[in-house]
Parts: sequence; C-alpha cells; structure tokens
Amino acid sequence: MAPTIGLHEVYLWSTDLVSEKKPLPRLANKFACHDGHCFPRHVLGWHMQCTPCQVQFDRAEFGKPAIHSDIASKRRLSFNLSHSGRYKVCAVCSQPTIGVDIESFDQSVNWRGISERFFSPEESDFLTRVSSFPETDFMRIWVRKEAVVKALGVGLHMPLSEFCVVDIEQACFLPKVEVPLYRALFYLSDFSLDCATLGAVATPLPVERVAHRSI
Amino acid sequence: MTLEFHLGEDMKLKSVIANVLKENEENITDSASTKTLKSWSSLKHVDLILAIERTYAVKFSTAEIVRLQSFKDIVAALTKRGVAFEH
Repeated sequence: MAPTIGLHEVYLWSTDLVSEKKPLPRLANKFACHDGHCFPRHVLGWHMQCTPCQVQFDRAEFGKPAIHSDIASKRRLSFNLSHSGRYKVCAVCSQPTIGVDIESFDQSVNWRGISERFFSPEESDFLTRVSSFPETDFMRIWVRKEAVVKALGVGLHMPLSEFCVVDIEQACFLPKVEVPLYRALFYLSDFSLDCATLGAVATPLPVERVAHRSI
Repeated sequence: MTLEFHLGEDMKLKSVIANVLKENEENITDSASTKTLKSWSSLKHVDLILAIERTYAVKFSTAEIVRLQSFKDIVAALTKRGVAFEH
C-alpha cells in the first residue's frame, strides 16, 4: 500500500532507459499505456492507489502536465517530469506544485555563452570568478533554474535572468530563491542520479526528506 | 583559381542544428522539432539559439526563443530578418 506523502516530503522516481531490466515496456503492455505517459501513470497510480490507466492528465496554460482535476481533488498530489540522457524522473509531492529537472553532462554545451546570455549577472559572475568547477556548477545552476520555472509552470516564457539561485558573497547555492516577477518563493533540493547526471527539485514549502525510488 | 562551394541556407541551418544537437544531418528534416528529436532538450534549445544568433548575427527576444520549436519556426524567424531561404 502506498504511504501518504507528508507535506515536507518528495518522492523522486527514476528509471534508467538503457537498463537491461527495462521494466517499463512490460508495464506499458500490461496496462495498455500507449500514449507515452506510462512512467508517470505507473508512479501516480501507485501513489493514488488506482490502476495506471485510471490516471488522467490535464495540461496547464504553458503545457505543464497535471493530474486531471476530477482525480486530483480526491487526493491532492502534484508531479513533474524530466528526461535527460539515459534517465527519466518523476517527482511527486503533496504541495500545490513541484518542478524537477535533471541534466546529464555534455562537454559540448557552450556553458560560458549560455550563462552570459541567459543567467543573472550574479550567476554569471559566480561561474567566472568564484567557482572552482564552473562546468559542474553551470549544470547545477541550470537544473535549479529549470526546476523553478517548471514549478511555476512557465518554462522559458520567463527570462531565466529574472532570479538568482546562488549567493556570490557566501560562494554557495541558495536553499531558497525568490522570483519577484511572480511574487513566489521556492525551496530547492539538489540531487544526483550518478556522477554525470545532476538534478534539482523546487517546491513552495521546505522539503525535509526526498525519498528516491528507482524502477 | 578557387573553387567555391555554395551551401544553401537551409543546409547551413540544418548543419548548425545537427552540430549542436549532435544528430546526423539526415535527421534534421524540414519537419524536425522539439517533439520529433529527443536530443532537443531545453538546455540544447538555448545552446542552439546561441549558435544560430552567432552564425547569422541576429538576436532573438525571450518570446521568440520560446516560439522557435522547430526547423520551420527558425527558418521563418530568420527569413523575417532577411536571411534568404529557398522555397
């Protein structure tokens, strides 16, 4: 039986798409999920104690997927998805919204150009003047910013330079960030799936426990 | 005598996209988009925007960056800025 998710808990489900076990295709056949939503259906079905096929989705204004309002009213859950390289993740919580992003390292990415053009001046300075590992820290800043804009449900519609996820004076990553444009505050939890894949979760309330489940 | 090889603008753009997304150029068809190419992630999207801006000496607004979701969208945006694509 699925446990109730506490207000300060996040369930982080991940699946390795190149794993030899490959459980999801079998699940897709079993539950006849042919719409590409097999993974979140399976995860949310477990949390909501229903079959994956009973999980229905809505789309918010900028395309963020959400649990269909009829079902969501029975059990208040939010979820968000991300995919990079060999991994897919689905983050689930009982807070009003959540954003998750993962990114696998790619040395060809023009991190200097992207940070100068799209990050806040403080973040760009952090990478060029403070950071000892700018490529890793670029990726950490990127997943944190993506998690925030996904929690807001606006994606790249909001300029990423509008908010900052680092404290340049303390040379550290901020545990919470303000987004003045939306009068919003988000708490950030960092994680990694392996040595080459970083991720972050953004939630409106602090998170005390991230329960990682791999399927 | 120098032999000049003129690369059409559409082939040039496809080459930029393929290079950033690390795809074979034959995968960058006229209908290529964020929906058809898994490699076209949000991070690769902003990397691609930078590469296109530098190649064509243009600059896109935030609203445009969000709208450029396919090869055709990019062709349309560049055409507006005077880049001549074959039709």
